Order: sequence, then structure tokens, then C-alpha cells
Amino acid sequence: MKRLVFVLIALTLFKFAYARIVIDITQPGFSQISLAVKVQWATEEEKKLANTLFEVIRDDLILSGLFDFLDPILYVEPQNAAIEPPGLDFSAWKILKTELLIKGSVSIEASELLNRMVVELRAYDVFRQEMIIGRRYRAKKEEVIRIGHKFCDYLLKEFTGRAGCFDSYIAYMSDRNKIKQAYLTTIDGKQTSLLTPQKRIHLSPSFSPDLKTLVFSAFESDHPCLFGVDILSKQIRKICCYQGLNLGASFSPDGKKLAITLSKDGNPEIYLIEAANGNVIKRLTSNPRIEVSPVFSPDGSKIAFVSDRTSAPQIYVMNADGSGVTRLTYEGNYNVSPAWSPKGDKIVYESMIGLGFDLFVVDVNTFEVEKLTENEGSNEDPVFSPDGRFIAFSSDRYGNYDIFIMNFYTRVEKRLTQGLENDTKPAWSPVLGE
Amino acid sequence: MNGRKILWVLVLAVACGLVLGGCCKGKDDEIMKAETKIKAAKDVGAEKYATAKYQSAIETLNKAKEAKCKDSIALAQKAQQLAEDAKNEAILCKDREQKLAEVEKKLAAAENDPDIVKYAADLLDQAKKLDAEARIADCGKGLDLASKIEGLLNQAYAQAEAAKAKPVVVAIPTDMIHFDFDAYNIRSDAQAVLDKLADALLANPNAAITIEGHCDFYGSNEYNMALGEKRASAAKDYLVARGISADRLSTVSYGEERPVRECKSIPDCEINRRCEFKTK
Repeated sequence: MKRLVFVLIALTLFKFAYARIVIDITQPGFSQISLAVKVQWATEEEKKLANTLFEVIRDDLILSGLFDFLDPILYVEPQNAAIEPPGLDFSAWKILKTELLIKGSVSIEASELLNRMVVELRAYDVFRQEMIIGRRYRAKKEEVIRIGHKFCDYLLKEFTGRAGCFDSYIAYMSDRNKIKQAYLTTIDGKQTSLLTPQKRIHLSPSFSPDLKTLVFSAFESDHPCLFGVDILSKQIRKICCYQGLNLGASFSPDGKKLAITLSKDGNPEIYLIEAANGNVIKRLTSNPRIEVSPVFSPDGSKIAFVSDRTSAPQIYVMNADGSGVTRLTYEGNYNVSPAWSPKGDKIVYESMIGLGFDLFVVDVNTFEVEKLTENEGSNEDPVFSPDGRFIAFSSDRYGNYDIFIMNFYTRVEKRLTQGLENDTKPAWSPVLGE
Repeated sequence: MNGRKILWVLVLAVACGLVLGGCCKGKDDEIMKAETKIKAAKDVGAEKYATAKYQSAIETLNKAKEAKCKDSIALAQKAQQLAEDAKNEAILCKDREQKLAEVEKKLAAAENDPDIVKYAADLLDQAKKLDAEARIADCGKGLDLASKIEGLLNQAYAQAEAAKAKPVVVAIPTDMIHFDFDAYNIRSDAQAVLDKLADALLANPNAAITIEGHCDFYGSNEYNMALGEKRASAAKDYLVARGISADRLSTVSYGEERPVRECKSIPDCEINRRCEFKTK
């Protein structure tokens, strides 16, 4: 996706007048804010874009768990009312007990040649009749989804002090073409593209911190080698292909190194390699049993991984140089697939319960464990979103494996993929730049 | 009496004696010949090896000695013939006994030779049948059969030699081995399968195989890729310990990516926890 081009206008001056209310969803006193969203249009083509924008904003804000959405059926305001005062009549919204009102419009520029539109968005505190944030975007029509996400990201920053991550990607593996390949999707599920069209088994996708590359493993001559695909150009290059496994690479925060499982020295162990060319920097583990699934902590100082050195797989943490190995999970006999929270204080993982798996979170400092899923099929491959609000994972609760997004605070789950294929192993990208 | 009369009596007596001796002229000769032949037969063991004919010769000789002149000569000549026959038979039967003993020793050795049993069983069977025949056949046939047996055994050794020199195409058994949940140790039922595989690989020194490690779907795909590799390595180590050189055994892992079939529980999923062996 090309860089989003937009123009911030002077509306931001109004921000200073607004006394920001900071909402904390984890506080016991929290109650959802009632929300209305209305995006206006004039022509049929603008209507389509406006509806898409409306859906994106509505779905993102519902997903955040902060808002209680008012159905448009209830709106009484005239169809083409102004999007800002003095034309905007707040009483039409106070009647509905709306607390947050988002008004917007889409107008396609007259010159079709340029394929441009202008999107106006305003978020209002209805009670105070004040604007919280306002944005004007001038962009290509295809950017409408990203505009909606970006706006919500800013809005959450205003409301909670922490920006949202709706403008990001999820990569995942799907066997819809009869063989596991990597797909890229926006988190609304509306735009999906195939990243790795080769007919080979693909495994373990992982984003580079600069969002330019997705690394993955794919079978070549009977064993998994490490590849990287450029997200923009879709060009694939081989990073390394040591004998045996080249599996489960995770970037260091500076993007220069990868932690990875190699078995070239006779046993699956964790190594540090150069992200550019796959050269081995250091071998980190030396245990005759299985060592896999290394993941760098967000600050790059530690690596979590899976080891069955006690004869059952458990989650461990070590320093990024391989020293100081500490066991993290003591409950359950089979704990795999660790992923860090963006603050580095928690690790989410899957634990075998009965005939399937459930998601758990362990506090890295206190070792306290929290269970996230229950009686909903087998839930696996969890990863945190870059803002820590969500966990993406795969679940077979409806038959085949689908990708789901769970709100970490409310535990509400939303299904992202459908269909008869198996969609597994999501990776969540960093938030897209401007 | 006068001297001339005594001389005539003497001459007459001698003449008569001569005549008497002469009209069984040859009898003593024949008898002596017969006795010589009987002795010769005895010397070659006719008493043991041609008993009937030998006894017959002796009886006939005795009869010849007692018989009157003409009969005596005939009997003596018969005795000679019998003695000759006895001698010839004795030689034949002695040879046969010796030869058969030799050949039966060789036959016993061949029966205990694993190469002969493996590569020339048919010839061995033929030889054994002929041996049974030779034991009950007469000496001449027996000697003949003994030679044939020897010929068959020589053929058998030659056949075994040739077969050994050829590279044998032994079918490599491709039975799978299975594993316990989350384990990569070789169970005893797997050992039996690996032993058979090792035997086949030892018998076929040019063969090389790929060992594939597979898992059920429980657990992360990454963990199962590693587990599959440990399973393949364990099978390889076992075969190396049995004497197969490591460069004939390559290992790959497919983790949980290639199950035999869908499965629903840990016991049901054993079918997928496996190593497969593929000839290259």
C-alpha cells in the first residue's frame, strides 16, 4: 500500500479548547460511551465510499470495547445536515443520549483523471458541544479504509492516552489453495492479498519492524528455508537455507537481527542471525532437547522460547545473548507459541487443555497466569496487537481454523476470516506510517 | 628175480604214475590257478565286499578238488571265474563305499553351508535324492551315482559363488514406525521394524534411504517441525548403531504438515506420529 497522503488542516487549533477526558477501560467505574457515526455523500459513487468509511469507523470503535454504538435507524438528523457548527444541530443527537458523535463526508474531486477524493471527519463531545479531533484527508479513493483506521487510531489516543492500531496488517497462513500460503489482510478483513503464490508449504510469518518485509519459512528440497517477501513489490528473496530447519524467525526491535531455530549442528537450537544475509551471529542454546519459537521482547533485551528440556514443552525466557535462562510456565504439561505484549510485561501462549488448546497470559515478573478462552474449540497461535489492546489467534470453534481478534480487556472475540479453508498463525504488523 | 624185471616194473610204475597223473593232466594246474585267483580276490577284500561270490568260488574249488578228473578241471575253471568276478566286484564295491563316504561328507558340509542353502537349494535337494538312491543301488550304479552327486555339489558351490558376487536386489521394507505423544524415543515395536530394515540395508549395501519424521496436529507447527526432526534422528541413530553407515541415511521433517489422515484424539492420532522410510 502506498503511503497515505493527507493534509492536516487548521481544525486542530480547536483541540486546545477541549478538556480531554481520559477513559480507562480497565477501571471498575468504566461504562461504555454511546457513539453515533454518520458519513455523508452526494453522488452514488461517493455513497459507496461513505458507507465503507462508516463501516470501518463503526467496527473499529466497537472492537475497542469503549463504545456502545447507536444504530443509524435511530438517527433523526436530516440527511444532508452540516458536519460542523453552526449548521450542525447537537440537539438532534442529545435526544438520543449520544455522547460521542462522529460526522464525516466524502466528496470525489471533479477531475476524474486524478482519482482523488476529499474526506472530512469530525469527532464531537455532544454534551459539551465541542470538537475533540478533526481531520481532512485528500487521497486516492482506494485509501478510504486506511483513512477510517487512522482516524480511529487518533481518536483512541485522545480518549485513552494510547493510540490505536487499527491501521495495521495481519499476515496469516491459509490453505485455501490446497497448500499453505501467506496472506496479508487489513484488520477489518476487507482487503486481503496473497503474498506467497509459490506452491510450497509456508510456515511462521513475521513482520520486520519497518514493515517493509515479511519473513517466513517455506519448504525447499524437503526442508524449511528462510525467505523474506517485500510487502510493496511482492519480491521474494532467500535469506538462509542451512541444513535441516530454518524456522520461526523473529526480528530484534532494530530490525538487524533475527532469532531463529536452526538444526544444522544436529539438534533444533536457537541462533541469532543477520537479517540481511542469514549469517550466524551466535548460537544461543545448547540443550540436547527441542528449542524452538524464539521471540524478541519489545525492548530487545530478552528472548522467550519453547523448550522441552523437562521432557514436556514449556515457555522460557533468556537474555538476548543466551544467558540467564528462566522457566516461565509451571501450570499445564504442554505450553507453546509464546508472544510478548508491547509493554514487555506479559506473554500470551497456548496451553493444552483436554483435547485442544486454550490461550493463557503469564505475567513475566509475577508469573501469574490468566486464562483467556474457555469451551470454544481449540485456540492457538496467539499474538498481541502493537497497541496491546487485542490478541489475534486461530480457532477451530466453527469447524476449520479461522483467524479471530479478541479484545484483551473485554474478552469479546470477533471472527476475521471465514470459509472452508484453515487460516492459522497470524502475525500482527506494526502500525502503518503516515 | 632179475634186475631187468625190477627196471620194467619201475618204468611201468613211473609210466603208470605218469599216465595216471597225466590223464588228470591239467587238474592240478587248474586247481592251482583257481587257488591263486581266490587269493587275489581275498587280497582285494572280496571276503568283505563280494562275500557271496567269494564263498561260491571257494565252494566250487573244494568240489573241484574232490571231483574226478574231467569234472575237476571244469569246476576248477568255474572257481577261477567266480574268483575273478568276486575280485572285480570287491574292487567296485570298495570304491563305491569309499566314494560314497567322501561324497556324503561333502553333502553334509553343503547342507550346513548357509550360502548353499540360500543360493543352490535346488541342486542340494537333487544331490540328497541321488544319495538315497545310491545307498540302495548295486555297487556299480552306486559308484556312478556318487560321481553324479559330486558333480551336483560342485555345481552348487559354483552357483552360490556367482550369486554372491551379484548385487542382490533386496526389497527394502517400507513399514512405518510410530511414537508416543510428544515423544521421540524408539519403542520396542518400532525396534522390531527397524531391525528388519537394518537387515535389508545390510544385505543391500548400495541402497540409501530418506527417513521422514512426522507428528500429529497437537501443538504449534514450529514445535512439531522440531519434534518430527528429533523422531527422524532417533530412527537414524538406531540404524547407525546397527551398522548402517550414516551417509546412507538422510533425514527430513514434515512436522504436522503431512498427516496420514485426520484424527480426533491422542490415541487416534498415533497413526500420524511416525517415521516413514523412502528408498532413494
